Amino acid sequence: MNPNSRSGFGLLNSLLLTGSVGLLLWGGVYVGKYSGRFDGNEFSELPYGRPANVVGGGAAADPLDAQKKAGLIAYGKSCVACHQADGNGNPSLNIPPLAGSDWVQADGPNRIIRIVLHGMQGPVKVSGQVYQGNAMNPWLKTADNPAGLTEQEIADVLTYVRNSWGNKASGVTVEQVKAVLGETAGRTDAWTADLLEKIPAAGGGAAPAPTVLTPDQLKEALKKLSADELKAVLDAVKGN
Amino acid sequence: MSDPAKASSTLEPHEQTARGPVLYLLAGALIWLLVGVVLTSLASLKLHAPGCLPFVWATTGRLQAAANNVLLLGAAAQGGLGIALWLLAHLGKTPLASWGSAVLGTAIWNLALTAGVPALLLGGSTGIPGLELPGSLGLIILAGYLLVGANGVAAIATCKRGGYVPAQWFILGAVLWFAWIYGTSLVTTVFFPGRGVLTALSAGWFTQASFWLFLAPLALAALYHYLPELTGNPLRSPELAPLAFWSLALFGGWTAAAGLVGGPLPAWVITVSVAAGVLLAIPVLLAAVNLLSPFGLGSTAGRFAQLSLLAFLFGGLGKALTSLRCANQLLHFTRFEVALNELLLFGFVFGAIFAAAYALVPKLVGRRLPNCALANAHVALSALGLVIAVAAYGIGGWKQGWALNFTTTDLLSINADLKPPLRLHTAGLAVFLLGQVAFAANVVLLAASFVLPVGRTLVSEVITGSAPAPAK
Amino acid sequence: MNHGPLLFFGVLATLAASWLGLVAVPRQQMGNLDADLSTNAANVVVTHPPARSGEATQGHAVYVSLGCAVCHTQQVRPENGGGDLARGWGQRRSVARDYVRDQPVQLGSSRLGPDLANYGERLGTNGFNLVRLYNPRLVVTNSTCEGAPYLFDVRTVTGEPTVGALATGEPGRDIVPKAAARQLAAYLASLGSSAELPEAPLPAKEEAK
Repeated sequence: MNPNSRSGFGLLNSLLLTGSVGLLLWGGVYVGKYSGRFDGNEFSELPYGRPANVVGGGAAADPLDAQKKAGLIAYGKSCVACHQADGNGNPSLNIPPLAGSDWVQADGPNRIIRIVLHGMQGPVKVSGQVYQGNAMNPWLKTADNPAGLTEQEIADVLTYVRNSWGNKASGVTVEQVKAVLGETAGRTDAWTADLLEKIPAAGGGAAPAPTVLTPDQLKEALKKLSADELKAVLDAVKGN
Repeated sequence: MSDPAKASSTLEPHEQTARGPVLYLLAGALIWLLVGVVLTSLASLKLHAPGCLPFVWATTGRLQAAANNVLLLGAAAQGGLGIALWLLAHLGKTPLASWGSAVLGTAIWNLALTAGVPALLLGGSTGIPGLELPGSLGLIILAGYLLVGANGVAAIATCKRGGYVPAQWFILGAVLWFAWIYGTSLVTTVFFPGRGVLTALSAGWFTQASFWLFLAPLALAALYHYLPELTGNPLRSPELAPLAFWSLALFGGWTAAAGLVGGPLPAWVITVSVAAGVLLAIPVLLAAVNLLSPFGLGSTAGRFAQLSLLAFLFGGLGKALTSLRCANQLLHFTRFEVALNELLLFGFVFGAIFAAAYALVPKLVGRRLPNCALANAHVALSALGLVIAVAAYGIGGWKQGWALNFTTTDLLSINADLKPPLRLHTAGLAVFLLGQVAFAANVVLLAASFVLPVGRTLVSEVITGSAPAPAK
Repeated sequence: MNHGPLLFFGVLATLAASWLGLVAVPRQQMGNLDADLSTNAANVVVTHPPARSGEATQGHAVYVSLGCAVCHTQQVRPENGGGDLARGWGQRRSVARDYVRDQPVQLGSSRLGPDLANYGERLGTNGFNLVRLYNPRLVVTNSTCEGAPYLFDVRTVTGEPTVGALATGEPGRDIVPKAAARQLAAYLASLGSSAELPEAPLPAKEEAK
């Protein structure tokens, strides 16, 4: 390179200077537009571009995405303290895990909706291990339980739990939660594992149209009930 | 592959006054560099091995704070000032105003920093990022800096050259700017702090300005002086040099909130910082265009200078791009920001200081560094370690940012994915440290060759196979 | 460029401009910021930020001393500024008023651990705070937090366990938090900034279907 030759770099200099002036102009416009009138109380510059958290492609990318995001927030408010952020629970405190749990990943959410609505107590076998000596509180938001979750939040958090930490299962809709709420109306006791295992995990959803049973079907249905439940049915019938 | 220029054995009389202070500053800088790299490597180790060193004096926060202060206020500042004092004496053809004040200033500076490291490790931190040293020690360091820096200002004022070259502008700027930057930052954060987030803003101004308006000008001064000398070609476009200087001066202090984008500050403060951050691409490009040279410089000094310039180009442009809010929302709080900072500190600033040291020290002491293999190891290991560490944090940080901001992945999984880059980063820092140890060994051998008159011949003959160049 | 005086003047003027612009002016704008009145979720008027208990204030000093800000941030970015709100780390972005009682603020610059700005609101009363400080891996299995085991005494006891000992620990070996551990736990439990402020409205909530 001839040290005294500058002819080849006149173009480069011009480009650099033009670019610098362009950047200066951009800087001026940017500062003028996004400074919130230089107000010390204005913390929001005008919005730019699209909101940050849209995963490219919008709704088509993952139809459960919105629910999972809302579910993450609901999980953080209520479940994470015991079941932990990684879903592994705390075996030393008899808190079963949610990650890889057979209960969580069942075909349908009927059992886990009930657990969240009314709580659970007694021993439970999760993924081959028995957890006993602990109890889970009900999490439905009521007048007595204002820190609980709304039905939408319950649907969202269960969708999140069923699709995180390696879990893969269907989402949970708010209609399913409402249907379970209808089926278990008036219940205040916590569930036990025995009771829940009698309820099919999937199926139901919207409340089925009431069917009329023949006397034999009625007898079969009554035979499946436990002594307590039979007594409750008879009391209800006699009460009418 | 030895230094092409034979160690010149004659120093002008005005340059001889600078010899003592410059060597003292450079020697101190080397020791602080070793201490700082060890501390930052330990901090990096604790990130992926949290059970390691479970002592209250070795928390990650304390180790990192000590490392940052030692590297910034000890190694980089003293190394840069040492080079600067030499360049001013050499270029200005003027002796140092007061040999004694420069040495005294450096001495109290070193004393304060030596007290500062245990103070930080034992819990005396102020809690202000970048200004963790206790206020009293900060004031002593400021006093020492003023004593040293006054010599620099005096040298420029008494310049007998009849005009200033780019290196002198940058040094004048750096020396004057840092006095105000450090002094006022101590006042506005430690002694009379503003309420709440104002402390964070002032601390951010300190961190950003002390890079763009102190370390970067010092390193650029070294590059502006030594690169043309080492390549044998003058500046490509001398008329760009003043533009580079003034654009750096204009925009360098306005990026205070570049590390607080999205934070609890008024929108205008962040917008101004973002704009200034992007506009700093101008001096980066202007300086790089002026100084970029074809690869393949043979000398150690030349290789370090090229490494420094490339680090400045990529790191500076990276900083400009990541200032933009859209990039910032992805990369803020991730390891990517740390990668850019390390690239600029270790690659650009220290690379320039090493380049100048390799060109300068033989001149000062009258003999070359004894061992070529150690010098080559220094360059190679520094470059290799830096590339490994920066790439690990850059790629790992990018993935971390994406997962944190655009997915619902839980933090534990993100951190599990981050562990391999964390380990790789520690490994890179270890390689970098090894390179500095090689340099220190070389310096020790050089010093030994003076101290042991009998061993001098032995050392040189054994290591280099030839007798040393005669002392002047 | 040969004019010494011009060089000096230019150098000083450029720095003075940036110092005035980004250090002095914000201080003038925000230097007198103070706590404000707000209404909390139960429709009670409260001051925000609330005054901290003495223990929590000392805990802030412990937090500063240990350097937790190297891995934890304490700021929630707005919706268009990052994924903080989506992660449930706060109900609204952080503003300057949230930090008027913090000296010095610990905004943090790196997120290797979760954001703590609303830690007290999220997890403050779960009872695991002290165990988590002793050894985070007892509470969260793969946690990369180093914890603060040196803030706890390990004592061998025979007979009754020490009052205030942690629930974990083998029989006969009690893990007792020192004062600093309690202070730090109190500080963490006090962290929360979701009250609505004039400059920081809560984002509109979707009605539950």
